[in-house]
Amino acid sequence: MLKNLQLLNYRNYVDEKIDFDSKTNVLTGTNGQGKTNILEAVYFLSMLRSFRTASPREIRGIGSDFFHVSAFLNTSRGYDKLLEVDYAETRRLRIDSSPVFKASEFIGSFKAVAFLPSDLMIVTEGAALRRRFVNMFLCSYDKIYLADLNDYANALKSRNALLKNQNPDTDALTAFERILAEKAVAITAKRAAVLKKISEEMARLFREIKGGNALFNIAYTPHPSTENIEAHAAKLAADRAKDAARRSTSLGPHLDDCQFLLNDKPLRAFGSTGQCRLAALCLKLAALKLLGDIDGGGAGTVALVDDVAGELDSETQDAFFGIVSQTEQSFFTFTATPSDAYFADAKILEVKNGSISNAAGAAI
Amino acid sequence: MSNEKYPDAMNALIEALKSFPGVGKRSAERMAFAILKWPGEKREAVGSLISGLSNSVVSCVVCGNIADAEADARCAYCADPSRDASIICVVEEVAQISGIERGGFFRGLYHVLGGRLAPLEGKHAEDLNIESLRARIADGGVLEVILALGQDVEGRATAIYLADLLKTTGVKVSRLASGIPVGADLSYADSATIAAALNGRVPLD
Repeated sequence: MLKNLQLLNYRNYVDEKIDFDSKTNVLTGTNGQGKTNILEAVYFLSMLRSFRTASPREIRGIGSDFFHVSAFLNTSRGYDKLLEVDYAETRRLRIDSSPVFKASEFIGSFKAVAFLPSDLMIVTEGAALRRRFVNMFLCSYDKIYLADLNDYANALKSRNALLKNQNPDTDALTAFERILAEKAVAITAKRAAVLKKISEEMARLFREIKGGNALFNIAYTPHPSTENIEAHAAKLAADRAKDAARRSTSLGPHLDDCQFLLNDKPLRAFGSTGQCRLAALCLKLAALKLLGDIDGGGAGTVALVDDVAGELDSETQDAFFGIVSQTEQSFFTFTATPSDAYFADAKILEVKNGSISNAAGAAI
Repeated sequence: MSNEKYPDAMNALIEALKSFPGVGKRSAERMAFAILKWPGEKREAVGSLISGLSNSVVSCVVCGNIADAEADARCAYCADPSRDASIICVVEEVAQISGIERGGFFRGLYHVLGGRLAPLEGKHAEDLNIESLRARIADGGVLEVILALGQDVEGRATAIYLADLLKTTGVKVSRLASGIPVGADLSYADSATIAAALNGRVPLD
């Protein structure tokens, strides 16, 4: 559980320190005051990525050339851990004041899952968003996945660079394709395993919310369909002329997709907005549940809920709060203090133009 | 952005010193001021050492390591008859040889590639010292080639490339083990290292 959060030049927060002493925290305030920025900062400490931008430079406050986020994390073992991220020209990571050089060693000190209005797009839009979700999830689920993914990206770019030559060095291509195939098979196997678990968890949630006849599952269409490294490498070798003409590699997990199916029909094409929204919510709930199962009982998980909880019907809300209440800590944004009984003991923090105060009369 | 107003020659020297690995502006300034304090003869001597390098140090004709310039220049290892010529250890850079030598364990010869296959940096097989490695093996007497290359994607791809290339020669090709550093506590190893060590585990029998 996060005990506090310190922000310097973080979007509209110039220098802000917030103490958290509650499991459930509610950030209230009108639009544009910086509620979501707090969720984003907590997410950044967990994943070293923003859920809003691919470029961390955008996070820096106007006129500054760096930003800083840090927090004291109270681990389930009872001691505190100081997590610090400094982003100037380069990124500096520290845990308990000792530098950390590998992102993979920093990511996942706590496991954050963000519930965002844009989650709907994971269900309804193109494959890239689904790959991004699966990649982000696997990075906190499996420490070696990020290294596999980085190696894969590097080998892929190397192969494409080799193919750009008039007469590509086929022996060098063979060498990079071998690594590409090795990593492709590893990545695909991990994605298949984790999507199976997510699918089962989502199916359970759909039954719970929509009754017994709702049949949900995820169909994963991996791009090496084979688990054989040699076979995938051979396919890559056979595709060289085609890929050189296309100027990109046409086979591999960088092109993977998965389908969300309700009663065997793809939601993307046949689902109502409500069904797609529910699928997006269940996807994030399933992710939260699986991350919580790693150490058992939701240990180390943090739910970040941006403007999502307000509009759910009662069955969905029960399922939602059922899983979110299992987390170690949760943060919600609302424009007004929520009246739902779930928030009776929550700490209410009022956000106004980049500063935060304890709302009067709130239980602290 | 510089606030300091140095004479042009100092600025030029600082700029030049900044090209050393690990040297930033501050360190370059300290080095430049230290050089400024040297007596004239020392500056002359060091200057001529640097400018003479291109004539005094050449690549070993056999392995690509650095060697004294002379006809048929061979490096200290290739010229040493007590080294085992049947084992060749392939490294990316000259500087890596001293690391292996410090171990004092390896008694074979070396071969310096001068880099690794890195298409993204425009480094291709023809830029590397590969033909001479092939020639050394074709000359006979080599029984084993050890590929002591980096564990990143480029290093591994180069190792695969060389292993494929040498397959037909009948020479035994091996690579260095990767994993937990000797004497290190398992608790402090990162997860990717532990995974590599588990993959490369050795049976005890």
